[in-house]
Amino acid sequence: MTDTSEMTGAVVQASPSALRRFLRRFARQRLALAGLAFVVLLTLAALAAPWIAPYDPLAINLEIVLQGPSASHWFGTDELGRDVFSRMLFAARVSLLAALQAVVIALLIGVPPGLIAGLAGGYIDNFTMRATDALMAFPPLILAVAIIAVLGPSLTNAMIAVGILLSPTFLRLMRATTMSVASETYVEAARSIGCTESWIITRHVLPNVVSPLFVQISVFAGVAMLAEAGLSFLGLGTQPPDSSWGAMVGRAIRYIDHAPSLIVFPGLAIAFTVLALYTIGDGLRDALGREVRTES
Amino acid sequence: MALNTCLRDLCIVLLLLSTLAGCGPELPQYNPNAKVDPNATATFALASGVTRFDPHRATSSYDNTWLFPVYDRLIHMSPAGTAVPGLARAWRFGPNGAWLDLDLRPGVTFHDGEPFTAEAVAINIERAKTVLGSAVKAELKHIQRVEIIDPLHVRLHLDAPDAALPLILSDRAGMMVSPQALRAGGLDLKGVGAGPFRHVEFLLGNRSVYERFDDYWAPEDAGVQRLQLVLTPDTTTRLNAVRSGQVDGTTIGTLQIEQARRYNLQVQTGVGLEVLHMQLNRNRSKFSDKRVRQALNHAVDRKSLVRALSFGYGEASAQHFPIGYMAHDAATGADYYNYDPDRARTLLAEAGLKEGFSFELIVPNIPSYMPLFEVLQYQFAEIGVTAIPWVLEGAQISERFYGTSEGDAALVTWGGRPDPSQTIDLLFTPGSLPNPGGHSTPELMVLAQLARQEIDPQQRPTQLQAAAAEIARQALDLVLYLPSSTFALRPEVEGMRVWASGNKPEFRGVRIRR
Repeated sequence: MTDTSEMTGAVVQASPSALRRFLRRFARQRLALAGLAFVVLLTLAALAAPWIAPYDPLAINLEIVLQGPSASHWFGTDELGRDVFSRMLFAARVSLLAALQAVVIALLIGVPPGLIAGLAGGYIDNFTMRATDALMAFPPLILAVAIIAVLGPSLTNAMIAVGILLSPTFLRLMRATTMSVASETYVEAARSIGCTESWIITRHVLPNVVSPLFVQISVFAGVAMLAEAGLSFLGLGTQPPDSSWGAMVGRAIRYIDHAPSLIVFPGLAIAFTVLALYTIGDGLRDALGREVRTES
Repeated sequence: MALNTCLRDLCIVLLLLSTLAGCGPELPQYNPNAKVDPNATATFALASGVTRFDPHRATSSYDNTWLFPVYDRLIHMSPAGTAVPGLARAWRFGPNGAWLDLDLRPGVTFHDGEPFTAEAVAINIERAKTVLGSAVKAELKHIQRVEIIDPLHVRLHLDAPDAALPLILSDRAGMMVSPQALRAGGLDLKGVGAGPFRHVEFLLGNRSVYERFDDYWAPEDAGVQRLQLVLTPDTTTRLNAVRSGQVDGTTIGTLQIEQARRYNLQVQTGVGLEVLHMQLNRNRSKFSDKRVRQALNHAVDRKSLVRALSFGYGEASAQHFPIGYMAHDAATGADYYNYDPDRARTLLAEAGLKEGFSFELIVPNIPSYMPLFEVLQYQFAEIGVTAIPWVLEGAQISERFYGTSEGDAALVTWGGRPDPSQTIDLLFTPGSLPNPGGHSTPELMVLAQLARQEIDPQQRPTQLQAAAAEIARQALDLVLYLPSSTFALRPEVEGMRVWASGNKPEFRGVRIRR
């Protein structure tokens, strides 16, 4: 097995040397490392929110509404006197979970048919591709709003909508990489010695198509987070009293004249997190792809 | 190298931004030497459109603003909400309220030249009561027939005394349409009345244009040559339109007051007859128990609500009528249900709900209601009561909460009615659509009827106040506060007033200085 993979240049295998090589190459990407550190820290902070938040994120105090940043309230207070920093810690959970939900849904919808279409070809491939064409022909925002209109506004429903919207890209990616892998000689060899299709998929195809998938996942986590922010901004995602960063920006816009800082912190949080996810994606692409030697 | 490029790009962006910042419209300035221009055009932006220009079939009270310029009414409402002479110079009830006599203004003509006479009144009231799809039929139900005494006197024969009738006639029910136009039809798109302005142009969903009617009986009411009303649903767009001079004035929210002042605009604000309340279906959840309703009333901190959510504009009140208005009961006061969570918990315990309860609260999907809901949810939670939100859009609320009596309570705004008896009867007596569940109390039904039948204007406030006090004592509703209606106007506008009707202003007497 190991011999085969090294012969064909396939990258992600269970072999320790390949993993070590990937880690070594990833560690060279400083920006990606910084992005990864940011996302890890953010995830830890979100998980630890109940212990590290200085205030109850839902505690309303109408005596101190719309205050700017201060020593007692680092990021100020919102229109109901709630501590913005505490709310942002809890909102991070929602935003991260939303991105995760959307990507998992997109993977579940996109990957299996992509694999099947890539391997089977013929009319199955044709049918799948025309279906994705139809899905991609819809304006994404209108499709998302229509899906939420049917299912009702909630975070999960919004993320189902985003997942559906992202799935065609995963499907196409899967199909294209599967097609190229399926024509490799080791797959033909496996087939010729009588391996079953499921064996071929799980042992030969899947391990060789996951690397572009990882890159796409990290990029789409950022896209999903932006989509969640947009939908929650429009009131179609997270519902009060829960909040996500996008919902916080959406609420803050009404008070932009009275407390401009209210919009800044969640806005920056979205921007930095999406940027971090994109740089991780870039790093993964460089670390997983075929090595490029640069002249220096 | 890369850093330099970054810095250069950043500088360019900053430069562009600073140029853009200078691109905003100049702030309007007040010119003390400007004179009233009788040939001016005044343009106002409104938040809601008009359903149709047929006053008897127009379904929304917000249509009034669009209809007032064209149609004069038999009786007018003063900015303070009292009945003042309109097309009828005087009115008086017959013995025991058996009829209402109207003395009509002589020499009045409709815009199409037809004279305004007792016959026109009879034709209008007859049509208002009978036309298919009439939205004012119920308001005129006590009028049995209209007797023409002479060309300038009519007698409305009533089957029961109805003290609310004069102010009802200041609403759409009292708008006079030219009989010729009634016969010709086509009123939905073009109004023909006897108001201060003629209707000259209407683009559905966009604008309506009016021109001064030179023969109007009170010429000072038509202060401009041309009046334009434009529909602009978004409040930020409306304020920006005033700032840039695209329109002369508009309605804004209280959150925009500071901004409007910074733009050098005039701001007029005042409390009208609108009520922001958490309306209860008193036949659902635990709301048939007076103590539960009182507990919820004590759980809400109204003063903080007004201060935090409306920036202090509005009247924190547990009553439906503002202080100083004829139906406000001073003895009960606005603060009858002061913020007292301990008292609320005691009341709940007395009602056998020591552990609290939960109920379903309908919340409109309008951004301004969400913070309000969150505060209520939080304050109810302090006394152990859980409010479960059910977010619906406007039409669904009418259908679900009022139509099929779903949902235990709803966070809504009552638009107010010209006469307080209308509000009392509609919200608190059985068989009325705005009273889901149809609950009432025997005492209130008696008091409401007394107020409706008290035709002596001196005595009537006492009766109205007794009914208002009973509503408060029984906690039949949960009034949150009486919202302020606010207008932002360019410095050259004068004569604009805040009317008791709130966000349904009239443009009588508005002038422009140039």
